[in-house]
Amino acid sequence: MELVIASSSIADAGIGCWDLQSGAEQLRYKSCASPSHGLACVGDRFLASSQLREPSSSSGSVLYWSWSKPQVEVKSFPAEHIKPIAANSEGTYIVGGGQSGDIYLWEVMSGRLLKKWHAHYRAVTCLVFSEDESLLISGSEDGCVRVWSLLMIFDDYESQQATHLYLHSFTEHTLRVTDVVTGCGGCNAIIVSASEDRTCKVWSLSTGRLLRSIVFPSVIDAVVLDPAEHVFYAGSRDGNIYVAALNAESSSSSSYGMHIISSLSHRRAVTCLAYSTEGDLLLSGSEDGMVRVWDPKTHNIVRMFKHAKGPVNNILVVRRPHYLSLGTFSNSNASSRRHGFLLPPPLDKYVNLTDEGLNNKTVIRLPTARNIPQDALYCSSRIIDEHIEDFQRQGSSAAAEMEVERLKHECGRSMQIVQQWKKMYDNLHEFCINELLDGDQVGCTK
Amino acid sequence: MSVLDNLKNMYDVKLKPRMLRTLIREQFPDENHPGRLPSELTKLISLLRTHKLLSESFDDSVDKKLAESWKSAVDEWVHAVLSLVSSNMSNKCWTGICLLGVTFQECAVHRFLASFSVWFNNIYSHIQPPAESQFVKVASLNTMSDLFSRLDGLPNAKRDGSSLASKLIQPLLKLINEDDSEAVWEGAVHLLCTILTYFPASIHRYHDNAEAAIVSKLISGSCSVNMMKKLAYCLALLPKSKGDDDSWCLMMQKILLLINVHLNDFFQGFEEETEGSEAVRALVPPGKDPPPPLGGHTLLGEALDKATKQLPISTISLLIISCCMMLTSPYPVQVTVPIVPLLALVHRVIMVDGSVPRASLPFMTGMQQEFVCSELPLLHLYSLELLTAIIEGTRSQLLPHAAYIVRLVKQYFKRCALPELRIKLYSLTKSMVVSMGVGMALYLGQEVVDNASVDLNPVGDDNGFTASIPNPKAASLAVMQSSHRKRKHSFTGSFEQQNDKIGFEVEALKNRQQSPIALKIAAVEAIEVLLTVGGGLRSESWRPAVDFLLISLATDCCKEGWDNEGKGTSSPSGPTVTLADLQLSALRALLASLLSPSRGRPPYLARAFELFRRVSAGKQQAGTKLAAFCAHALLTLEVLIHPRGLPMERFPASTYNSLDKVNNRFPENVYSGGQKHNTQGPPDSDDDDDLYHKWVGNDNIGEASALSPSKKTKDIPFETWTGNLSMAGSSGTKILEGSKEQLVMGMRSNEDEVVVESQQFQESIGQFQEHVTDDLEGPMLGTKRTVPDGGLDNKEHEVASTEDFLTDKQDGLTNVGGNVAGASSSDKGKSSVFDLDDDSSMDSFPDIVNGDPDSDVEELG
Repeated sequence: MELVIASSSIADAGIGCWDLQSGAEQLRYKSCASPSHGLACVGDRFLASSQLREPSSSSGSVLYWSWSKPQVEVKSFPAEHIKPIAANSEGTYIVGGGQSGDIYLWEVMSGRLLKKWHAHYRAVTCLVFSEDESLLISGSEDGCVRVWSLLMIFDDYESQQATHLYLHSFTEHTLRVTDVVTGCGGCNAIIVSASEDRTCKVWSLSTGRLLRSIVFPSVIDAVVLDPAEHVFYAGSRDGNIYVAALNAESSSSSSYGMHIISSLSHRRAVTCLAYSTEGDLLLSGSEDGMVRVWDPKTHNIVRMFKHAKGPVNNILVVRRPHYLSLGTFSNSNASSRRHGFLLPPPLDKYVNLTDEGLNNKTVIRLPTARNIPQDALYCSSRIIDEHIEDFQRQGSSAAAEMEVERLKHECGRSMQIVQQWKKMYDNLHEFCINELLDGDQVGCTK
Repeated sequence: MSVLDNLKNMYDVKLKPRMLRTLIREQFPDENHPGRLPSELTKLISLLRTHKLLSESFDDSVDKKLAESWKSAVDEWVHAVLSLVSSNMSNKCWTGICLLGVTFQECAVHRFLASFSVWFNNIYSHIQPPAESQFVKVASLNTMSDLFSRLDGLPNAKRDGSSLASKLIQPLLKLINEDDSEAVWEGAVHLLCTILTYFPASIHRYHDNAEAAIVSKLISGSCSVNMMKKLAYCLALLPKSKGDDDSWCLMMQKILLLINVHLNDFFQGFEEETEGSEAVRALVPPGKDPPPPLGGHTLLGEALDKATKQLPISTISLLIISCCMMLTSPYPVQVTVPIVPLLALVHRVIMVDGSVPRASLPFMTGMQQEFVCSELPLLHLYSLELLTAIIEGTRSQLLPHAAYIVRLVKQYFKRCALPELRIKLYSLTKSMVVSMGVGMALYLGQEVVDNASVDLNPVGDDNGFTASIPNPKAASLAVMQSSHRKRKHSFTGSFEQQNDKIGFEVEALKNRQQSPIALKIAAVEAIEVLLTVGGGLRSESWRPAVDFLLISLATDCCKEGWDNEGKGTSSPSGPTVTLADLQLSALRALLASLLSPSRGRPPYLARAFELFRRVSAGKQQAGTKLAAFCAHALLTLEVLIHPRGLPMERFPASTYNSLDKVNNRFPENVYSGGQKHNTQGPPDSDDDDDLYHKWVGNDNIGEASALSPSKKTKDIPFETWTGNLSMAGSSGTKILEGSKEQLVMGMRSNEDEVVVESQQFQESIGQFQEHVTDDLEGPMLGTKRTVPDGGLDNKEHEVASTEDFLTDKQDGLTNVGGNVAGASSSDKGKSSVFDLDDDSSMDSFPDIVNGDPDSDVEELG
C-alpha cells in the first residue's frame, strides 16, 4: 500500500496525495510552495516541506502537515532560506540545506537545532541520507558533492583535529548540482549526481573515485536508480527520461561517453522522479503539472495523476502509515492522536547551548507493539513440571508438606478401612458363632 | 460400541470426545485413588495438547450430534476440574488449578469468554487465605497470570479484565509484603508483571504501594538473583500503570539517583570526590527539588538502618538492570530519556578499576579495597549492559552522543582484561556498528581490529601464524598483550568465583595460556560485523592484516579436527562453548572477509574455497551447522566468481515464452557443437581480472543471444535464418574500430585479438579450436551490446544484423549455430557454464556479439 505524494512550486496547488494502486486521490494539503527536494515524509508520521520565500524575507520557512489535516499545523522559521530538506527513515532528524551553504540538523521530537555547519561555498541544492543513514550526501550550486559522516559532525574533538569535516568531496561538476541519489551496498554503494553541466556522474562511496561520467543531450534535473542498479533513469529538461547503464564494469576512471540506452518520451521537461519498489513502477513529475507512472519494463504509461497547473517538483512514494486505513484520512485524526503522533514543536532557529537540562535529554520512542510469542506467555505448564519434579525429588518443604497431608489423608482412609475390616470380621465372627450355636442346637434336637 | 463407531484414523473428530471422557474416567484422582500423586499429570496434559481435546474446533462437515457430544465432554471436563479446585485437600486442589491453567490455554474462545469470570473467582479464593499450601498458592498465581494472558488476546473482554485485575492488586501486594516464601513472591511478581503488561490501568491507583513493595523486597537483598531480576523487571514496568512521559522519567530519575548516591559510598576513595556530586547534579538540576526517593521516604530509611547504611552491590547492579529494561521494553508514549546522566553513570562505573589515587591512599584499608575489587567486575558487566540498552533504546537519536561513547569504549578496551568483560565489550561494539552503520565502522575499525588480533593470537603457538602477522602494530600489541596477561594474573585470585559463576570454559590445550574460546568467538564476531558494515571504506590500514588473521584462524581451528557438535565438553549447567562454535564463527568471518568489498581479488580466495569445500563435502560433517554454513558460503561465493548483472525481467519487452521457443529451435545443433569441441581444455585462468570480465561478458551474451532472436522468432521462420549470408567477417572489423571509444579501458588490449579471431572464424573450425582462449575475450563486447539493445525503441536494425549474422553461421559452420543455442540455454543454468564441454559454445559466442555492436555503432555514431 503505497501513497504518492507530490508538491509543486506554486502555492495554491498544495501537496497532492494519491493511492498508487487504486489511483484514488486522498487528501490535498494546502498552501505549500516547495522548492525542488524540499518535501520530506518524516518517519511516516507527518509531511514536512521547506517553502519558497520572497528573496527579501530574512528567514526561511519549514511547514508540517499531519496526515489527517489539510491545513498547515506547525510553522518553523529557520535563520535563513532553506531549500532542500531530508529526514532519516526513523523520523528523528531533519536536515536542511541553507542558501549560504550551511547545513542544519534538527532533532524532530524536540525541535532543537543540534548542529549547523558550513558545508559548501554556495547554496545547498540537495541532501540525501546514505543507506544506513550514518552518512549524509549533499550537492551544491558550486558543483560540489560532499559526503559527511554524521558521527564526525557531532564529534567536536575529532572535527577540530581534522582538516576537513567531509569524508569525500567530489568536485568534477562544473555547474550547479541538481540531484543526488545513492544506491544500496553499504559502504560500497554508488552515488549518482546530476548537474546543470549536462552530465551525470557515478561515484564510488568506498574509494571516493569517479566511476563514470555520462554526457546527456540536455540538463538532467532528476535521477532515480533502478532497484537492482542495472540502469538509472535521468529526467531531462528536453522532455525525455533517459535510461543510462550502470552495471557494465568500469575499469578506468576516464569518461567514455555514451551509456544511454534509451529514453522515455515525456514531451515536457521532467522535474522529478521517484521509484515505487512495491509496484516496480517509475514515477515522473513534469512541468505540465502531471505525475506519470511508467512501467519500466514496457516503457508504457500506466497511470497519470493531475496535480497542478504549475510544475510538479517533488514526488515521494511512501508506505501508507498503518493507522491510516483506506479512505479515512479525515477521520484518522483521533486515531493518530491515540497513537501519540501529535506533531512535534517547531524547529529552533539557533543552536541552544545554554539550557543544560534540555541538552541532557533525548526524547525517544520506545516500541509500542508487544511481539512476545504466544507460547512464552503461558506459564502454568512450566509450573506443573517444576512442581512435579519437586514432588519426585521430595525436595522442598512445601512438597513435603503436601506429601505429609496426603499421607495423613491416606492414613485416615486406611484407618477407616481397618475399621471396616474389623467390623466385617466382627460380623463374620458373630455370624459364625451364631451358626455354630444354631448347628449345635439343631444337633441336639436331632 | 458398534462397528460403525470405529474411528477412521487418529485425526478423526470422533476420537476427541471419547478420549476426553476416558481421560476423565481413568486419569482423574477421584475417590478411588484419593491421594495418589499425579505423576501421570504430564502425560495427561500432553495428550490434551497433542490431540487438542479441549479446542472444540471442527469444520462444518461434522454432524451436530458429534459436536454436541464433544461439547458435553468438555463440560464434564470443566466440571471435574472445578470440583478438584474446590476440594479441601491441597493435593487435589493443586492438580485442579494446574489443569484449569491448561484449560485456559486450550479451550475454545467462546467457552473462555463465557466462563472466565467464574474461573477467576474459583482461583481467587485460593490466593487470599493465608493457610493455603505454598504449592497451591504458586499454582493459582501462575494460572491467574495465564488467564490474563489469554484475556488480552480477546477484544471485547478488556473492561472485564481490567476490573478483575484491579481486584487482585491488593491481595498480591499483601502476598509480596507478608508471605515468607520466595516461590510465592515470584508468582505474585510474575502476575503483577502480566497485569502491568496487559491491563496496566488497573494498577494506577496502587502505583505507590506497588513501588514501595517491590523496592523494599529489592533492597532487602534477601532473594535469589533470579527473583531479584524479576523484581527489577517489575519495577521497570511499573510506570506503564500511569502510561505517561512524566512517570517514566520520574522512575528513571529516582533509580538513577539511588544508584548514584550509593555509588558515592561505595566508590569513596576510588574516584574524585566531585564525580559523585556531579552525577547527582546532572540528575537534579540546581534549583529544582529532588524527586522523592525510590519506594517512598520511610521505607528507605528503615532498610538502610538495617543494612549498615549501605545497599548490597548486587542491588545496585539490579537497579542498573531495571534501567536497561526500562530503555528496551515497550511503552505506549514517547519518553524523555536523561541520556547524559545515563552515560555519565556508565562512565563513572567503568572508570573505577580498583586502583586508589595517591591522595586517598592513607585512608584506604586493604580490606576495603579487596571488597570493592571483588564486586567491581559484576558492576562493570552490568554497566556495559546498560550501555548496550542505551544504544538499543535510543537508536538513531544517540548520534549526538556517539562520539562520547566511542571514546568511552576505546578507553575501556585499553583497561579491560577480564575475558567476560571483553566479551561484553565486543558484543557492545557489534551492536554499535550495526546500529550506527558505516560512520561507526570508520571510527571503531582500527580499535576493534587491534584488540581482536590480540585476543585471537594464542601465545607461543607452535604453528607460527602468530609470528607472521603482517601487522606493523604487532610489536606494540605484543607488549600490550603481556601487560594484559600480567594484570590478568593479579586479578585471577579474586575473580575465580566470578569466572565459575559465568561458566567459562577455559580451554587448557597443551598447557598454553590462551584466550577462552568464548572470547575468541566474540572477537571474531566483532570483526565479522565490522567487515560486513564497513569493510570497504577507509579500511586500507587494517584490511590486509584482518584478511590474513581470519584465514589463519580458520585454517588453524579447522586443522585440529572437527569437533562434533553436542559431544564436546559439555557440563550439565548451562550452555557451553565448544570448538565447533569457534570454527563456525571463524568461517563466518572468513566469508565476510571474502565478500566485503575490496580493491582486488581477495588474497586468500583459493584457500578459503578449499576450506569451505572440504567441510561441506566431509562425510562426518553431514548434518552439522558447520556443513550447512559451508554450503551456504559456497553458494554465496559463486556470485563473487560469476557476477550477475541483474537486468530487469523481460527487459526489452520480450516474454519468456518466446525465449523458450527460441531455445527449442536449435535442438539438433546443440549436441553436435558440444561434442565436437569436447577436447578443448579449460580457459586459461591466470589473469583473474580477465576472467572476471569474461564471466560478465558471458552472462550478457547468454542474454543477448536469447533476447535478440526472440524478438523476431515470432515472425521469421527458421529457414530464413539459414537463407542469407552477410559479411560478418568484414563488418566485424569495422565494428571494433568504431566502437573503440566505447570500450572499457581494460578491454583495449583484447580488441586486436578479437578482430583477428573474427576474421579467422570463417576460415575453419579447426583453427577455431586453437584460439579458445582468445575467443573468450569476445564476450566482453557482449556487455556493450546488450545494454544498447535494451532500451532502443527502434530495434529493427539490430534485429536484422543479428539475423544476418546467424545465417552466416548456419551456412558456414553448422555446429556454430548449434553452439549459440547451447549457450543461450546454458545461461539459464549457471552450472552448465562450468562444463568443459560448453567451452566450445562459449567460443562461438563472441561472434554473435561481434555482429551487434556494429549495428549499434552505426546507429549511434
